[in-house]
Amino acid sequence: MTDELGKRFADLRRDTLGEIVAPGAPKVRSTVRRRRGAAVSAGAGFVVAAMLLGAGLGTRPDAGGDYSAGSPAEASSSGGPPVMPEPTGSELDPVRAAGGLLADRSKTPTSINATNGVVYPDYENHLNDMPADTYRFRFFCVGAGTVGVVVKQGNSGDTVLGAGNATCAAGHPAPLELEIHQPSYGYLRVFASGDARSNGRAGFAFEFLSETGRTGFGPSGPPYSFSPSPSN
Amino acid sequence: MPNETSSFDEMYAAHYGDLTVQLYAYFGDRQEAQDVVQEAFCRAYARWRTMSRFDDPVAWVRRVAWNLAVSRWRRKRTVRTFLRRQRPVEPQVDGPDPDRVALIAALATLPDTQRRATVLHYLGDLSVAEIAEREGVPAGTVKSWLHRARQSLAGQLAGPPTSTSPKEIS
Repeated sequence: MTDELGKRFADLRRDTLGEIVAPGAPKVRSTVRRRRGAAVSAGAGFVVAAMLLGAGLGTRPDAGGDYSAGSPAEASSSGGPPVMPEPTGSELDPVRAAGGLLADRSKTPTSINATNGVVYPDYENHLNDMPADTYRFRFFCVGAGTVGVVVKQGNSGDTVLGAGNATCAAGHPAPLELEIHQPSYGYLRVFASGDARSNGRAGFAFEFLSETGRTGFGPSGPPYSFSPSPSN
Repeated sequence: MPNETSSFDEMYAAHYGDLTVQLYAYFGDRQEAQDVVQEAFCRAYARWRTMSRFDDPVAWVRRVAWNLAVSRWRRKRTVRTFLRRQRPVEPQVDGPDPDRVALIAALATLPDTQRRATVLHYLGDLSVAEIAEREGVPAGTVKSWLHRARQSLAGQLAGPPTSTSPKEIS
């Protein structure tokens, strides 16, 4: 039966692959752009959105309009494999500066799920692979203004694990630091809401540092000390 | 060593199909599987500047897709159970290959852990050790899941009873 089962799975794979029509990477890009655009326009309105679009944030420089759905063959025709471009614009300097304040993973492997970006009025990040542990959460903001930060447990609901305000500053701002206890492996959400001075201009970066040392940055990227749901 | 030139489009093209097949086998619903995999790639793209430096960004996408799948499955399990009771003949019988329908239906009867291990092993090409690491359980537990899954599938698919011991699973 082992061989028979293997053959059945091989047939399943072959037949299904032959029927799948991938929506396509361009559709992924347009979805992500739309989500980012929604977040921007929800709080900052057309002016900020226009500024970001003008700066080319999150857009491919060689793509002028929206991608059509369901067109997997639209991938780059420019020869080399397309990669997500590094956006350009004045708002990216503080983003890079904020990212530079994060721990060096080669020396601090307990820094996980770090990221950086432009401050928006309605930023939200769902971290779906957060191991149960106690973390020191550090949020940096480079620029001017303040950012309200809330960390919530799970993929939904309103269980707040930590909250505070990060004060933005040029150079080396003091981070907002929160102790976050993730009770079980799974989702964790980070919300960040800038004020009028920081939105669209300041850059932020955050990271979670395992206080117990149990959780680290795995060789393939995601944290590796996770312990998923119990077996059936 | 981080691969600074990782291409999102290349990764998408190379792995969208395989991941969809795996989650189709898990869900029994191809559209659901496609939605989950597409969402996983969206999340990857949203943080691609960081992810492109991962040694193996596909592992991240796979994990996100599976986590999304498990979440969705749990939410919809009750609804699915109800629908199955109301309509014992699944619409998949209209598909071109009855063997595939039978395999998907048989997989759907397995406990989550056995089904996940089976799919990851046979469709994800993961070894027992890799599945064990992913699931956070000893390798022996994975062997046991696979053994029981194969016995169950063998019985349901009308093949001869399995004679494979768990130790024979690589």
